[in-house]
This record gives sequence, structure tokens and C-alpha cells, in this order.
Amino acid sequence: MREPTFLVLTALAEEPRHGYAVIEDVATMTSGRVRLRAGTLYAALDRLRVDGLIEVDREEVVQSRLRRYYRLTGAGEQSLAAESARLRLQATIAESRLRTRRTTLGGATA
Amino acid sequence: MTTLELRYRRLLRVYPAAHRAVYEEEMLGVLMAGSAPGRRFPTPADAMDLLRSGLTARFGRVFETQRRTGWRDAAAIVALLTAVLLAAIAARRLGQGLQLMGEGDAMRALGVDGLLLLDVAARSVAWSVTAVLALLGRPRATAIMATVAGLVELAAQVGWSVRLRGAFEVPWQLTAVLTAVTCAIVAVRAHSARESLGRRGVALAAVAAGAAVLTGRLNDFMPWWLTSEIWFDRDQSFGLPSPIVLMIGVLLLAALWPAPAPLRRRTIALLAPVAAAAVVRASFYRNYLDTSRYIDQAVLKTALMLAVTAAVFAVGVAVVRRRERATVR
Repeated sequence: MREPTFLVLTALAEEPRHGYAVIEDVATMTSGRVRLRAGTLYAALDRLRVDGLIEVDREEVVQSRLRRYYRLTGAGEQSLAAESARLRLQATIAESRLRTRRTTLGGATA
Repeated sequence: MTTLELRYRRLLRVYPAAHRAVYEEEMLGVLMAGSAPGRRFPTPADAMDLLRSGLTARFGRVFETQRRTGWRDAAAIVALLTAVLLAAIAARRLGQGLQLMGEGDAMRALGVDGLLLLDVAARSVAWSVTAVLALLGRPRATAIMATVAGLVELAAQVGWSVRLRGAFEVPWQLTAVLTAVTCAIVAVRAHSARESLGRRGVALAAVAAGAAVLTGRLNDFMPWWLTSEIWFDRDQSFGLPSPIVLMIGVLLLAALWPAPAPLRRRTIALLAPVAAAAVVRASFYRNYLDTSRYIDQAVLKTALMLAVTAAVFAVGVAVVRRRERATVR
């Protein structure tokens, strides 16, 4: 799973959100490191919809603009859980190797 | 509508219509919400992102939706069948040449006895090796050997054309050769034809090849109209593929029958241009006898044949895609 996809699923795991709210949430979540652009966001949303990982929750018109809210499906929840577990495992391995390396280097932490 | 919105709308045209119908208004909302007040032009980063994503949606999807749907597997089958067919045609000519030699013709060229048979011998060996490699499930070697065999065919065509001072057989095999080489290259990462066709399919293809070798060689036992390749009327002004050629076609279709329907459809779509070339060639029969000694006529006919086969290919692919789009929805 690519990072934008993972981040979009994470944003929708909290509550149904519309496109711009997803962009804002992803920016907040990553402390501004990732700011999704519209093209990238809708490529991810379209693919996730086709794969059945998200679905449309509701539509609103605000100041004559269409807002479509998306929510996570059961399959989306499972997919996000699996990806989180995979990333956690990778992070754990990386941390344990870094610890070993520090011990080998005589406790140097910098 | 503001200038900025108009410009975003123009940029969004890069997306396919189906995508725009679903997402355009929503994307405009997001793009406008993310723009600084008073801005008149899209930011270069946004514009690049839209162009990249739009083009991916337009072309990437076509590629992606067709990528895992068996075209490569179909290409593997077609590479095998066309290689078998071309090997059979060359083997038949080699047989005829050897028979003539047996009857006392030296088949002499450039002062060397039997040299006239070099071309057909090289063709039959090259296509036979290609077919065997395809059967053994060695796709990379098949692609290399098919390319070699294609070059041998090309060299033979040019060689004969020079030798006969501009006489140039309208080569319906050209379509088969192009099909075989292209399919063998496309099928480098595909399931092997043997996997897709099963034993029975391979056996039927072998019978079809046997029939192709024997076409025109059974005149002693059967009426000519049954065994010659082309079935033409009394003054040879119009020709059609003969019953034995149609029977070979039926055998090939029977070989395909056990394959899953999408694979079968694709294989037929890829083989259709070869069949079309054979029909066009048959209808040239009289003209071919009379006028193909003139290179301009031959070039025209070759161009016509390639145009017809390309059109048949395009229609075949479009029919497969349209039919499956209807099924998916």
C-alpha cells in the first residue's frame, strides 16, 4: 500500500470525511509533512472505491459546491489493520536492530 | 464562474469523461477550497499533479484494466499456433521441393545444387524450433527464436523479390509472421500455451498443422477443389479459402474451445487478422497471377492487406473490450 492510500484510509478511520477534510487531516496527522494534492487524492479515492475499501457516506452542497463524504468499509478496516500491523512489524525490527547497533558501538546513541 | 475555476475546469479536461462525470464538481470544490484568495492561476504543483493524475486515469487505466485480463496468455497461444502454421507451410513447400528434386530437378541456384531449398528449409526449421520452444513453456527463448524466424522470412521475401526482378508475392504470411513475432514478445511473461490449451488443445493444433502440411499434397487421392488452398471460380477471377483451409480453421477453434471464455475471445481476436489476410490473399488470386510482377502493384496490395488486417485487429480488440465492459456492469 502506498503512503497516500494509507493516509487516506487512516483519515477516514476516524469519521466520514469529504475530500478537503481528508487533505487537512492528513496534513495535521503528518505535522505538515504530507499535503495531498487534488489529483493524487482523487486517484487514491477512486481506486479505494473500486476496490471496495471505502464508500460514499453522504453528499452535501455547501456554498453551491458538491461535497461528498467517504467512509471506511469493513474491507477497508481490515486492509488498514493489516497494513498497520505490517508497518509496526517493520518498525519493531528497525528499532531492535538500532538497539543492537548501539550496544555494539559501546552504547553510543548519537 | 471565476477565472481560476475556469482554468481548473480546463485542466480537468485531461481526465476521461467517465471520471469527470463522477468527480469533476467535487474536485473543483477541493481545488478552490485549497487556493489562496485572489489567486487567478493554478499553482504549477497543482497543475502538474492534475495533468499527471489525469493522464494516468486516461491511459494508465486502459493499460491496467487490460493488463491482467489474459491478453498476454492469449498472445502465448497465438504465438504457438501461428508458429505451427508457418512451420507447416514451410514444411509443405520443402516437401514439394524435395519431391521435384527426386524427380530430377537440381533446385540449383548460384551454381549450387539444392540451394533453392535453403530458404524453405531455413523457414521450416526456424518456425518448428519456435513452436517447440513455445510448447516447452520457454517464453524468452520463444520470443528470440520467433524474431530470428521473422528475419529469415523477411530475408527470403527480399531474396526472392530480387531474384525474380521485382516480382513480389503478396505475402499473406506477412500478417502471420508479424502476429507470431509480436505475440511471442508480448507473451514473455504469460502462462504457457500448453497450460492454457491443455493436452487436447495441443493435440488438435498438431492435427491442424498436419492438415496444413498435407494441403495440396493429397491431389492424387482427393478432388483438387477439396485440397488446394484457394477455391476459385472457372476463370479464376475470384477466390475463397478452400474447404481444407476452413477445416484447419475449425480445428484451431476446437483446440481453443476448452480455454476460459475471455482467453478464447482474445485468442480469436488476435488470430482474426491472420484469417482476414488469408481471405484477402485468396481474393487476389487472379490479380496475383497477372500483375504481381510489378513492384508498385505488389506494394499496393501489401499495404491493402496490412490495412485490412490492422482494421480487423482493431475491431476485434474493441469488440472484446465492449463486450466485457457490458458484462462487468
